[in-house]
Amino acid sequence: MQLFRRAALPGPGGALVSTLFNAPIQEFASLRVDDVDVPWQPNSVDAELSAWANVSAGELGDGKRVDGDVSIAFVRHRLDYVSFTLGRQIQVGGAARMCRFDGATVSLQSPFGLGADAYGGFAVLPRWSERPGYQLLGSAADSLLRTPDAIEQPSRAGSWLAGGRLHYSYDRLVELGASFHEQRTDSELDRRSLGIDAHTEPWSWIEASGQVLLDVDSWQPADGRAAVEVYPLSELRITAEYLHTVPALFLSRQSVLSVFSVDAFHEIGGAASYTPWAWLGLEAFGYGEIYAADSSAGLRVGGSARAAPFESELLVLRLGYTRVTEPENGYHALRVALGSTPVEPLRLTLESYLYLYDEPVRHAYTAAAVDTRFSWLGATTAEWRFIEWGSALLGGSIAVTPYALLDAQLLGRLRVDFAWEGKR
Amino acid sequence: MRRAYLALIMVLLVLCTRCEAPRGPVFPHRAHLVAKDCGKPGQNECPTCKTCHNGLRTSDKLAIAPLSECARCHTPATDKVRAETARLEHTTRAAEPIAFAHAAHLVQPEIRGACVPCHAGATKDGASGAVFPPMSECTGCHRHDAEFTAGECVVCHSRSDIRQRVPRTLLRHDLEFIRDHRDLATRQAKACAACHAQAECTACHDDSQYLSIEARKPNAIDRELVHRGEYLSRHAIEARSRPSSCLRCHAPSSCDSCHVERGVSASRVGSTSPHPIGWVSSGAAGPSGHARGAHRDLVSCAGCHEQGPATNCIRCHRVGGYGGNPHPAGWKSARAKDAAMCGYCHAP
Repeated sequence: MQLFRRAALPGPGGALVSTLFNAPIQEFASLRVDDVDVPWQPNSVDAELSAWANVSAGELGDGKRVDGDVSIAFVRHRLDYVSFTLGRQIQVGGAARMCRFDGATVSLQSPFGLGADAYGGFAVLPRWSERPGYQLLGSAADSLLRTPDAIEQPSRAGSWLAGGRLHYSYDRLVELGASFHEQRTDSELDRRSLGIDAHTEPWSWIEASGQVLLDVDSWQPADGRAAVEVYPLSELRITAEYLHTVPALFLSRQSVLSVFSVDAFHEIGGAASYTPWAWLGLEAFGYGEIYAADSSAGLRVGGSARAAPFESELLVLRLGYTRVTEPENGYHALRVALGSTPVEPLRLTLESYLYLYDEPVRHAYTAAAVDTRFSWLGATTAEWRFIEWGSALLGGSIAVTPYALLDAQLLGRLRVDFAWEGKR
Repeated sequence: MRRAYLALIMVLLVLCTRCEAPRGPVFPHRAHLVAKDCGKPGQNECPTCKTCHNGLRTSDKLAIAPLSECARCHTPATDKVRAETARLEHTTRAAEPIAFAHAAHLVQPEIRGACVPCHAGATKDGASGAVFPPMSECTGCHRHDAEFTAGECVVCHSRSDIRQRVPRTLLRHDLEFIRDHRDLATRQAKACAACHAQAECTACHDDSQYLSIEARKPNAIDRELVHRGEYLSRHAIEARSRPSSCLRCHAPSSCDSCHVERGVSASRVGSTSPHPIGWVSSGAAGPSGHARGAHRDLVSCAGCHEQGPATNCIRCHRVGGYGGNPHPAGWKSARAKDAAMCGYCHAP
């Protein structure tokens, strides 16, 4: 349960904002079953079901009293070299990027390292996008509609996707993949992509990988990434990376905006993690961004440390600093986090974040009472693992931000884990 | 609805009475290995690893000494010793997390029958969780390339075991993992699935869910989560810093759905423009702010102006419009001009 007093923010020009008293209760439930026998193949059927529900008490605003959805629901049957998955599922990586659909996937894996996946089905529409979107090709203002709920829900009939990936691997020495993905919205082209990915690990101390996502409509690379990872010591990992992205090519081909730009942004940098002792971990990263459109630049650097000087996680301390700049604004961020297990079933955490912004965050709406150049957030939790398969957590946070003089939240969480392994 | 929740909780509680998670041993190894009241004339032989686990030299089943072995020193065997021995045997049978051939390893010349090189944790105080060596100890000799490729962790691990373990050496999900996991998920989808359900992907990537993963796991201070901390104030900075990074998870219209709800969208009557004065007009210094901003980060524009042609650039930038040709140099598309979106400017 999350109890909070929320303001629909920000109000224009210092106007009073309305506040809501609302107590939403969220429940997440997931079930996973593996290795069920069928008469012709033992240990060959898996299934997964995941759903969430929300019930809100109090004032609603634009929200719904009762809501919920099924996130994942599929059954998979595995044979020696082929598997079939049917239901609501996700496809990740390659040209698919990340998509969720109701449909089927067929996977083939030969014993010689060659494999193929093919999938297709109706796209699961993002619920936050139920209201006016590019798929309507008309604005709420055009139609003089003032209540988004009055607009007809988008139909799924024309929202489908299909694709596949062909891949080959020779141990871990080389892995190659080529993938294709086509997605339609209202039967019109949303995106059509071709993906190429490769990975090699010639020695145990070095890995290299690269991916390219090609927009087939314009035959231009929408996204490309190349990375090299080196392990000079077992405790040290160093990564160098280059990223090339054309943001406009990530928009739907049905978006009018997608015809307005072909400019890329480049990111180059690296990261390192070092664990000199088992109780101490150090990490650092630094990336520079170049925006080709106006030759401006950005920066993203930082470092963090994790110390757990006692065994059994009696005390865990994390410190972090991040500096981000982009052409219009930037910030310094400091993070201190403390975790402790003073007695075995009880775990406590304490966190604090401080952000210092280069420019005021709310240019147009700045209220005199709010210093819009910083945010501070403090949070704490106490979790009591009252039994091996269950725990109760109570958490709270207080924040001072450019958007709120005071933001206070309280969270209660009851968690139940159960795993039962049948005879195999 | 309240009754439904209570009923659901009751069902889960009943189901969970059958549950048992594997655990590591909590036996006070060090206290026994450094025992002082032994080995002298008239005293019992000092316990070593072999005293209790000698069966491992001939069998791969984890051997625990019988209660009679404890009774050699703990005389008479107290109820506590009896209970602890019974619990250890039960726990060991329930866990058996790794399929490991002790007998075959102990005769290797590098190991020479020694237990401590792998189980050094047993010689330290309070080392119950570190009795087993890290996985990198295994993969130092056994690369398991084929198993990694096929995602077949069950060769060594039982399924219930791997889902309750956090990788600390191999497959460790450290700071860089948040950047790398997209590529790993492409190449090693089956290996990911060995531990993770697809629901764990949607916990972050399904932005329709009311509570973010950060809110659901507020005490996971070791996890590198994208929206951790006070994200609302810096979300625009993050979006501009890495254009299109939001779109890897969120649909463009999800920006506006939230902006409408909070009254900062062009789709909402009464909204105030966030753009500075002179945003649209060109000046002597070159292109106007809106042109520079759009070319650099069109995705951020789409956050508000993706609501059809009346809300965006095409009001001015169209055939016959005073904004000029919207297509930049180098722009091309394989679509026919009778596509619905093209029809705003181009007659079919």
